[in-house]
Formats: sequence, C-alpha cells, structure tokens
Amino acid sequence: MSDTTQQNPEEQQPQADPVFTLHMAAMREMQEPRDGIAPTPVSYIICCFLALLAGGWYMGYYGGEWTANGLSERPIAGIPPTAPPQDPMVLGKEVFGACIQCHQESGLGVAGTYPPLARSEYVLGDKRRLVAILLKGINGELVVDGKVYNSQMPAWEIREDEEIAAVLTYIRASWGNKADPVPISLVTAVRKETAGKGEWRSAALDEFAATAPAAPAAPATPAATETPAAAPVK
Amino acid sequence: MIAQPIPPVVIPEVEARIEVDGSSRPVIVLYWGTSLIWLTIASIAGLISSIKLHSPEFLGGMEWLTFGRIRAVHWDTAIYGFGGLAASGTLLWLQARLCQVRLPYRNLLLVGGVVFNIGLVLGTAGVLMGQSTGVETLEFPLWAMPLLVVPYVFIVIANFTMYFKKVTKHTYVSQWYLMAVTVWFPILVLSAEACTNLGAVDGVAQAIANWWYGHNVVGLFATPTGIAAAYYLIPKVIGKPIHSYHLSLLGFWSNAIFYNWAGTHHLTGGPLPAWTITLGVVGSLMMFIPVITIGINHHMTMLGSFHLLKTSPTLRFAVMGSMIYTLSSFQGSLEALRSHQEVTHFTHYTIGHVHFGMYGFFAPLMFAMMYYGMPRLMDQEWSSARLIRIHFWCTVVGMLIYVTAMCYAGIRQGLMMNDPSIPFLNIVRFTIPYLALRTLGGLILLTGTIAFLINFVRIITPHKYTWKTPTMLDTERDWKKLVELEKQSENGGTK
Repeated sequence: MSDTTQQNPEEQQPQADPVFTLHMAAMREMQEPRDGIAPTPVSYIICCFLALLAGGWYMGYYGGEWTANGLSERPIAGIPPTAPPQDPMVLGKEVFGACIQCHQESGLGVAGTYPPLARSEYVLGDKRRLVAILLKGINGELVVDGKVYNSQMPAWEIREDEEIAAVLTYIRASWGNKADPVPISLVTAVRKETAGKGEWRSAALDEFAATAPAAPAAPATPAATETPAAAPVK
Repeated sequence: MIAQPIPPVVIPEVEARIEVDGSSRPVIVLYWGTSLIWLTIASIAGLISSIKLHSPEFLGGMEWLTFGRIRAVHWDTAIYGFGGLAASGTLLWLQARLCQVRLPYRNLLLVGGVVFNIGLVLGTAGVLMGQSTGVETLEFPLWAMPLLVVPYVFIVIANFTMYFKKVTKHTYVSQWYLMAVTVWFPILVLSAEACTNLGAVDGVAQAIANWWYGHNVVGLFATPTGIAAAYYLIPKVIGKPIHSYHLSLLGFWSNAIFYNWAGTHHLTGGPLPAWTITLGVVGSLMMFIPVITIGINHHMTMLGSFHLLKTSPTLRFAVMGSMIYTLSSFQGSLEALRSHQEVTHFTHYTIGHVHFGMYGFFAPLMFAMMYYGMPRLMDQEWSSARLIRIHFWCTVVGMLIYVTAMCYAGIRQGLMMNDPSIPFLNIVRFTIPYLALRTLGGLILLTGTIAFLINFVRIITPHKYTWKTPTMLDTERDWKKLVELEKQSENGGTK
C-alpha cells in the first residue's frame, strides 16, 4: 500500500490485457472490509444499562409533571405548578367580542331585530336554559321583555366549556344585570344532555326548560355553585 | 515497522470492483464534483456572514447579501449542496461496491444530479431575493423543494435496487447505515416540510417540528453517511477486519433509537411543556451509548496501524473524522444538559459545536471518500501530494482556530450574559476579536477547499501521463513534472 517512494512519473501503459487490469486492480487495494468477532465485554453492556437507568431517572425527575402546561421542569417554591384559573369576568368580556355584532356592546341588542341581554328573562332566569340556547342556537319567534323578535342565533358549541361559562357569567353580571355566575360543570352537563339536538324553537325550548335535568346532570349543579364563589359580581 | 501484508486476492471481488468503478464514474464524479463547488460557495457565504458580524458595514449596501439571507444561504448550501451531494455520491458508490453490482439507472441518476443542482441554484437565488421561508434549515422557498426531493427519490430507488440485487451474501455495517439513511431522510424532509412550511401544525408544535428536523438532518442524514464511510475506509485501507460485529450492532441500533429524540434540546427555555425538552436532553445524553460503541469499534480497529497515517491521505482524513466524531458527540451530549445550556444557550458556543461536527467529522470523511474513490473511478492518480497536505493541514488548523475561538468566546459570553450588572454592549464588544478569529479560521478552511478543488479538477481532466503508484502524503510529487513530460512528448510527437 504505502511503498510509494516512486518519484518519476511514467507513462501509463494503455493495457487492453484483462489479466494486467485485474492484477493492477487487485494490487491497488485491500480486500473489501470484513467484520471482526471480538466479543462485547459484559461490563460494557452493564454500563449501557446503567446509562439507560440514569436517563430514565432524569426523565422522571425533570419531567415537569408531564402536563401540557408544566413549563417548569421542577416545581418552583411559591409558584403554583399550573396557571391559576382565569377570572370569568375578564375571559367573558373577551369572548363577548363575538356577540357584539348583534347584541351590541351595550347589551341592548337592535330594536325589533335582535333581542336585548340586559333585563332579559332568558339571561337572568334559568341558567340551564341559557346554556342550552348558547350551545345550540335558536331560530324563529321569541318573546323577550314583552316584545316579539323573529331572527336566528347561531350555535356556539365549538367553544370550550370554560369560555361559554365565562361569557354567560359576564352577561348575567353586566349592564345592571345581577345574577349568580354560571359554573363550568353546568355547561359540561348541558352539553352532554343536549348532544345531537339541533337549534331550538321557542316551544321546544320551553319544553326542555320544563323537564328536570337528566339524572347524571343533577349532582353537577350543587357542586357547581361552590366553584364560582370567587367570581366577582359588579 | 511491520511489513505490509500482501492484499489477499478474491478474483470475483476484484472483477466486480473493476465493473463498479468503471460504470459508476460519470454519476459519482458529477455528485462529488458539484458537491465541492457547493462547499466553496457555502464557505464564501459563511465568510461573508462571519465578516459582517465583526465589521457590519462590509457589503452593507447590498440587500441581497444582508446577514439574514447570506447566513441562510451558507447553511443550506452547506447541508444540501455539499452534504447532500457528497453523501449521495458516497452512498451510491459504497453501496455498489459492497453489493458488488453495477450502479443501476445511471442516466436517471445523472439527470437527478443535474436537477438537484438546478434546485439548489434556484433555492439559493430565492433566499437571496428575500423569499426565505424563515424556517431554519428549510429556508429554500417551497417551489424549489420538489427539485431537491425528486432526485433523492431516484437515489432511494437505485439504493434499494442495488441492495436487492446484491451478489454478496453478507450485509456489511456500512450498508446498514446507508439503507437507514435512504429510509430516514425522505420521511424527515417530507414530515418537517408538512409541519412547518405547509402548516399542518402551528404554534410551538411547529417549533418542535423545526428543531426535530434541524437536529436530525445532521444526525440522521450526515452522521450515518459519515459513519458508513468510516466503517468502510478504516478497515479497507489498513487491511484489517472491523473490531467487533457485536459492537457494530449495538452502535447502529442505539443510534437509531436515541438520535431521533434529541432535537428539542434546542428549545430549552422556550414556552414548551417541560417534558418535551427533558425528552430531548435525555435523548442527547443517551447518545453516549452509540457514540462510545462506535468509537471503540473504529479506534480499536485502528489500534496498531497508526503509522499508516503518515502516508495515506484517505486514512488521515478518515481517522480525523472518526476521532472528531467521538469528541464532538461528547461535547454535544453534554451541551444538551440544562445546567450547561444555562451558560451556552444562544451563544457562539453552539456555532462552534456545529462546525466541529460538520467540518471536523462529516466533511473530512467525505474528503476521505473522495481521496479514496477518485483515483479508482478516474484511473488516474492525484496529481500533487503537496496540495493534499495543504488541504489536510488547512482543514485541521482552520477548524481548530474556528472551534476554539467560538467555544471559548461562547462560554465567556454566556457567563457575562448571566450577570445582569454587565451592559449588553460590553459583551458584544468582548466577542469581536473572537469573531475576527473565526473569519481567519474560515479563510484557512476555504484555502484548503480551493487546494482540494484544484486537485479535483486535475484528476477529472484526462492526461496522457499519470503516476504509476498511488499518491501518498510522504512523496514529493509535483504537478509541474507531469506537465513538462506531457509537453516533451507533444514536441517529440510533432517533430
């Protein structure tokens, strides 16, 4: 391989002779590489397993609670591990941005076309009915505060339960309205109850409001009233 | 010094070798040759962006060469232009040799090579015109990407065809890595493009996909090709079998299992769930297993043959590559640790590490492949031993200057940034001499590349005269002698 002290270039002979070509190619380099069979020491395998164990420990120790919200790999003293629940009045006002076009920022709606939210019996009354309206939307004639409206409200069930509860809490505590907050668990319960239903008609809504909530939803309501105690009322 | 063993001759193997080398010449020379041109372009782009960091007014009036564009061009041409083409050439030639079959679809691969180059030119032009996507490592505008992906499909097809037609019974380690690259890389590119530029996901998931790709393009494309080259060249040149088949197995599979997870350590401190980053850190730490395993395998094979480094250019580059693979991977694994990143994250240290890996490990192994392959493909010897020596020492010295300057400056920079009492501008001023040192390192690397390019151009031009034996590093071969002889013979012929 390396016995190459040859200093003088020489003309390369154009060789048609296959034996010569073969000879040159064979002498040019070593055989194609092969595998040796030196065994792997057992101690080395053990070291690899120890490394794996260490990796597993590290993964667990710095796992940041394995949640999507755990942004810190280790708990920090004095800081709660997950974000505190958002104030429903703040979130509600944000979500209400989607309602402004019809119900207006003042909550008074558009006279003769869109019903008001302020002093509305639907807003201040049965919370279960209110959630149901927001989830599924309502179409057709509806009497609000003594006036007849005939328009359509879309369904908002693509929104999170937290957002729906927040916006309802917001409208129940704004523009002079003073009613208790809507708990998230109620939204979850009504969503389950009304699953598969289409948009409401006035009559169907009355019928729904008259029936008692289904069995699984019942315990949700009392539990729910405890949670929103922190929600501020204007 | 131990007497050189006489190469054992296996006639069918030698015949296959003649077949393979003769038939694959145009394809491999196209891939390797253009890869060197792209290396030169990438080096120049890197130099421009490096100079801009310590002398911001340099070429300040040209919007095409603003830092944001020229740096993207530097990295993309380095990884796709040089890396992509050099690795593809290596992959095809090694696979053909190890399977002992002729390179299939040669015309298709030639067209693919040309198309890939056109894609690179268009992509680079797009980035320079300001159409960069802004996703690191995938900066090329989307319309240029098909020109890079389609030729790669040809390579994948050719690779599988060779493997299924192979004459040899045994599948050698290098082949495992080459097959793995052809499976991994298309999945990587397509899913990363889908998740970033095509917008299949958004928010932090996009950042995760970006860095998963950014890290894996080095780890699951460049690295396996480099390792395959080292596994081939070291035992081939010294004529000994590779140390241990069992270690080869362990190294390959642990590499395949762990590397994929490492990418998210780039996002330490970002607004990601902590466990995703921890996963990246653990993935990087576990890379100690394959790195040490592969290291033992390479270095134990080399043990007792170090005297050959004096003479063989191939071995010198290959051993440099495999040694720096061990070193830079150790550095990288430790760098992933959060405690380490507290200092070095977002500093020049990271840039030092990338160049240590790419220019200390991957590039030398590709150079070694070319030094080994070109004389066999072209039936001519390297014209000048001096140019090879210049290339080698420029690579070593330039890379060392670059990496030490960047790593040292990075650590100091990180420590200063952690101290809120130091004004930020003081830290910037502190780094300026090291940034200038980096330009010097880059300049030396470019000199080496140009020396190699000259040698490369000479070996692909047909000559009447060539050296009778391989060009070794300890010879004083001079190109001028060949030219003189050629002139003499021409004069003799006309007389």
